Amino acid sequence: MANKDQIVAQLKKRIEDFKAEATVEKVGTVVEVGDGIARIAGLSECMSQEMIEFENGEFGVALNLEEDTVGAMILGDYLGIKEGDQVKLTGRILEVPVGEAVIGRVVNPLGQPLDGQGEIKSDKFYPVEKIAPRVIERKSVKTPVQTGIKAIDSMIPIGRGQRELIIGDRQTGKTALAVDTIINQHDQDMICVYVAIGQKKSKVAKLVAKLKEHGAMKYTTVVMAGASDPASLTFISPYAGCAMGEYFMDQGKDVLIIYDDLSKHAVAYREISLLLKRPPGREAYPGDIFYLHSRLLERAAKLSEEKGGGSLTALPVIETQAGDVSAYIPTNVISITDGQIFLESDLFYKGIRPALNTGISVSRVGSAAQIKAMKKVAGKLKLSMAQFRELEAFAQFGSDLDEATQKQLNLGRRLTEILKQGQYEPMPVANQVAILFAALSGYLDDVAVEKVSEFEKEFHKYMSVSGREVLDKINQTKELNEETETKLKQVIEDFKKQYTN
Amino acid sequence: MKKISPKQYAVALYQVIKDKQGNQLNQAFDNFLQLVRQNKDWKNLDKIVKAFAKVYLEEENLSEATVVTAREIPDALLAKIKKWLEESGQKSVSLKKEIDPSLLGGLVIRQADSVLDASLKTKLKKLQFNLNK
Repeated sequence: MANKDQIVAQLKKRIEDFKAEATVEKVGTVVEVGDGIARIAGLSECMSQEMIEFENGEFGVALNLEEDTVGAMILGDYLGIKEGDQVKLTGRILEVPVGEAVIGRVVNPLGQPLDGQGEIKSDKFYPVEKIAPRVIERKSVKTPVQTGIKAIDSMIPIGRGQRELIIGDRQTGKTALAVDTIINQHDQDMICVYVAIGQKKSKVAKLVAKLKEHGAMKYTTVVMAGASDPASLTFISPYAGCAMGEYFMDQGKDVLIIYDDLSKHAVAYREISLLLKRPPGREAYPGDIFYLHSRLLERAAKLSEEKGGGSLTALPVIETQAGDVSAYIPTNVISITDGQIFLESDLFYKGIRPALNTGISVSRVGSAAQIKAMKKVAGKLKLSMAQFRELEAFAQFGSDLDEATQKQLNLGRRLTEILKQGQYEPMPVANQVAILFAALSGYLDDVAVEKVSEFEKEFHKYMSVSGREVLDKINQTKELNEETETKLKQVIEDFKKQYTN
Repeated sequence: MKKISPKQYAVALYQVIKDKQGNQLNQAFDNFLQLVRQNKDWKNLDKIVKAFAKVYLEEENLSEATVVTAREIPDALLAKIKKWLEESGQKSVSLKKEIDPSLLGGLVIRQADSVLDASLKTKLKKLQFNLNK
């Protein structure tokens, strides 16, 4: 009874305290609406990128300010908006809720929940469009992001604060690579944001289920603009995801954000631009399509100590058509990012998965973003792989090869085998160092190529028991000094004895 | 040559007929219409008229305002509102009134692109939003 009175009293108080002040608002009227775009007359004093509110409660963003009309995109359902509807200026710029509340959630680009786990209660908001950190606020990229994928961590290292493009045809494992990277962050003190841009909802549902299964949703936010959502939501989704990540970066944390994928983002922006009657350019994309992606990817940064030392690592994904990387959007994004990971369908069908083309994949940050132990093995690995690629093409013609060439080819074949990795099986960096060290030191030369993957599996099993000490040492010191090296050699020899028997 | 916008026509027309009267005024109108026809902008005449109304109000320092209320209001109150609008906007105001029962109470004043919404309907909406938070 008392409880009931309390509620009534509370409600009463809230109603009494409530003051609605009548304010003068600037309004306009809708003169044209269609395809997610509205043209509005009036609205004097409207700012560019300002949020506007329609009569039915939907929001829009003013994009085109013209002589006597304003062109705006509608965020949400445009079917409820009629010609002649009143439109109000809000005086605000588009914002999304940020903070701990969004972690572990699936949200739409406006920060509204899509996972049915209740409202997102956050009192902090970040603007969707934000200017990237300035030069003084930045620091050079030094600490590694451990993707857990052998081929990437060894040869194409990614640093915290870097932007590394994942590019390839459809069905080459681009998303798989991104998901594996998220899964591997469970012990890396990293917050992940996965932005699904114009993706099939079934695919995203599957992905979220996989992340949950591996316990990765505990530190991950999924921002989703589905294929059936209007182009305006698809367009703002990467910026919204970035804003959510930026909050944690400003708190001094490390954030990994994946934009999957930016080709669809460009298509959505093209749709909006053409409907707003902006002039089309190459491939019918508008003139500012480069700025669209550059301003987004510039927001990835490693902040200086004064700014808290946080970082935002961006892994944009681009889907190419039939391997054509010289199309407009791929070339743009390649030139913006600090390197790219090429995935090829040929390699994929050959059974080399992840289907990385190690020859043309690069990371411009390079070995600065590797632990010392990895640096030591990676140098040799890169060289061996380069030589192998050279010789492989050549060896297809001749049969008489000298011993040195033969040896190089054998090593190359085994290394290729080692660099293969199953999906959802990211590997800790110490294990990567151990197996690569074993291969490069010639311990695998007497193992048949077909048996290498089996050997590797057994090896890691053995290492987790008998080689624990060495792995811990590498993890602690992040180095492979002589003492550890001899110990590692000893463990490998012991294992080989046991394995052959 | 660049097309002349309805607004430009309206400004030009206003400038021309500003100080004219009687026959001269008629002559000016005739000339203006001929010019519009020559430029093949006949179909824009509607827009020109609308733009002219705006230009006229602006140049003469006048403004139009509409007061919407839920019920009939006494003329004395209307005069008060008019006086208040004229004082705050430094313009002479011609006031129109409208009745819209859906407002429930209070009033809404519309003037050009601005709206002063002091209706009960909006207040209740805001209260609802506030309680749901």
